[in-house]
Amino acid sequence: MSLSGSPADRASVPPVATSATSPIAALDAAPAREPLIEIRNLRVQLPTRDGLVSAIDGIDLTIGRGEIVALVGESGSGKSMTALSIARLLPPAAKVVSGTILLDGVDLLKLTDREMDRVRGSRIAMLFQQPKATLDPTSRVGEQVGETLRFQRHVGRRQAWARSVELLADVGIPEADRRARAYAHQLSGGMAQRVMTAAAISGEPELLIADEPTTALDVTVQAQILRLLTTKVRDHGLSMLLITHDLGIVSTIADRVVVLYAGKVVEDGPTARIINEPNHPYTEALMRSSLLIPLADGRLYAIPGGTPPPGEELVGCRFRARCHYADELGIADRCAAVEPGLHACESDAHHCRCWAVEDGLIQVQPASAGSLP
Amino acid sequence: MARFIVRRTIFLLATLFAVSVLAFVMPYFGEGDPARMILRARMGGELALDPAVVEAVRRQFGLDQPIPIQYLRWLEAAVTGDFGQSFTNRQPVGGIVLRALGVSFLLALAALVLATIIAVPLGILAALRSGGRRDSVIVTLTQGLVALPEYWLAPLGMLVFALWLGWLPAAGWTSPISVILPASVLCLRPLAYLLGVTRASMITVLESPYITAARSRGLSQFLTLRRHGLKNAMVPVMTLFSIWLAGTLGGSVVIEVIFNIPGLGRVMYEAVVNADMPVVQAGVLATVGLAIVINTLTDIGYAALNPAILVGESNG
Ligand SMILES: Nc1ncnc2c1ncn2[C@@H]1O[C@H](COP(=O)(O)OP(=O)(O)OP(=O)(O)O)[C@@H](O)[C@H]1O
Ligand code: SF4
Ligand SMILES: [Mg+2]
Repeated sequence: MSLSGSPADRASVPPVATSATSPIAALDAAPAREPLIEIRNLRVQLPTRDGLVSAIDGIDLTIGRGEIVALVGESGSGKSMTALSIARLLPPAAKVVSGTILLDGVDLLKLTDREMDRVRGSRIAMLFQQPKATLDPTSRVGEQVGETLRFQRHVGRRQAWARSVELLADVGIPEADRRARAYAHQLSGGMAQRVMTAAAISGEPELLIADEPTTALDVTVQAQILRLLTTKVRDHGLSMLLITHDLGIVSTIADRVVVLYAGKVVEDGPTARIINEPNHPYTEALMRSSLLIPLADGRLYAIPGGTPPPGEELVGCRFRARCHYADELGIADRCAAVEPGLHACESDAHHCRCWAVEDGLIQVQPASAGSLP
Repeated sequence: MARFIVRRTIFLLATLFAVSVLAFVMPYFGEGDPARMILRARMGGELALDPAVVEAVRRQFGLDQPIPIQYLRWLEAAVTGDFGQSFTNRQPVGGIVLRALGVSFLLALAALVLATIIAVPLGILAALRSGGRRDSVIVTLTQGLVALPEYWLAPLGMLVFALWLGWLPAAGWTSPISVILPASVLCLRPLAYLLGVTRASMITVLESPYITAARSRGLSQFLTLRRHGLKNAMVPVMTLFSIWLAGTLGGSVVIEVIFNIPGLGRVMYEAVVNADMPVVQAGVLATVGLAIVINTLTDIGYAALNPAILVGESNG
């Protein structure tokens, strides 16, 4: 092991300084997709009783054209905040304090409000966790599905309605012309999410951001909605940022996985690698906790401890308090003192933020390989 | 929807019946003998009453009958619009109350419409930047308005706009502009409350997932507000409007007395002072009855605004 050099420096210096594009995208060995979204050093703060808190603390994230990227992490890690930042729909109190969010090379954070209005719906669409609550209870669903067309494409009201009915039929809603006249309370959760999907694809966007689109649905319906989403995404060549807690879903449909921990990316890479050979101790724990394989004593594995409380002064590795490797490997002092940077793993498309991994102290065993769907 | 309206109407009629019983019986709970009250009202004094006269009056007004019989007679006449004669001036009570009610209703409606026109846009403006400076200015100002008592504002308004500036009549109920000054004073408190409710309700609505979703479909903030914010935020505002309207009908006594307006508040006030029972009975029935009617119309209005309200009704 080598303790030479300043780790903090290494963390901030791009590994490939000559690259014209982002350091991380440049490392991708796989036939690099043209990036659609490139988030660099995004930092979002929220006011709380204890002062400003960083909900997102310097995130880098790239989504290629036609790529499905899964964003995973515990509750409160900043997944929804990341999604809302891209669409610039953060709650008014939340402030982006630094970073860039490039859509096709254009920084969304620099657009005027009116320009951003034209990006939403037409280039970036969203799906949310509570499909029924995302529909206005006082307005017919067909009206809502047709809104992007009416107000962005300036399609007439009648035509927009007719197109809504087509879109609703297209997402598998039976008797679409009758359903278009329904109100949200008359729909099941699954139907409501189909309606939202119809609305989302109505403006032929390039990116679909889906924040836990199936979490609130019945298990059987989840599978249907997921199939619908993947079909639509692949058919239209959309990129998708999929936020989910369900690693089964991740392994089925995602091309890449980004793991967030307490507002930072701790690992990202191709789905198979992240699921089967997680490098970061947190990712490993996350995979283990979601395997639902009982431990020797019959209980299910749960990651010990909790995420650092928001507002706490964070020094060193954020996972330190819950990481058994740090103690076992005798690097706890360093982990607690200096934050590791995001560094490339053996595969260039795979990055990890951990001293032990960076210094090759952890033997990554594909132990969990085969045990996942 | 039709079923909803029918059910509400049946409920309305049942409630009106109950109210009529209360309105009729209530004066009997007061002090003593109605026959003596009639005589006292007519003569306007505390004379020593001749028992024979009292007995005659009792028979003449049917007061010797049991109360349920009296009630039925009263109700029978009441449904034809006949509420008897005023004890004090012997005019038909129906006409007195109806005229007074019309005046009070007009005054209350004018005040509330004025309040709403001002409060709703201001409340929305405050909600759009809640916590900001604009918000705190608006909120502080309206809280100040609630603190000002009407008996203080009314004379002040008269002094400034009638006596000094001479723009408006000081008092009375003679021309349409007579309504301006009393309505302006009467509108301030509901304005403050309506603004508070609009603001709170709009803040809640703006945080709703369907608002974020509408923005994500590319609607501008203005369009989102117009298409999805207003209708949803207006439900509690409507409630307050109707509650306030119902509550002000029978009772802007202070304003009506100060501005010398022949409304129900003043008529009821005088009727109670003079123990003029038929007027009190008809006045109570009219005030409470109208309040219930307004409530029912409001409920039906909600259902029209937000069809989800009908859900519980459809399978009953
Ligand atoms: N409206 C808000 N006001 C204040 N803090 C908030 C608000 N919304 C989120 N936060 C904080 O921001 C951080 C990130 O939250 P975020 O909603 O992005 O988490 P998440 O990863 O989506 O979690 P979940 O899995 O529960 O949806 C959390 O610490 C949370 O407490
Ligand atoms: S840096 Fe240290 S504490 Fe953090 S995950 Fe790696 S080993 Fe654990
Ligand atoms: Mg979330």
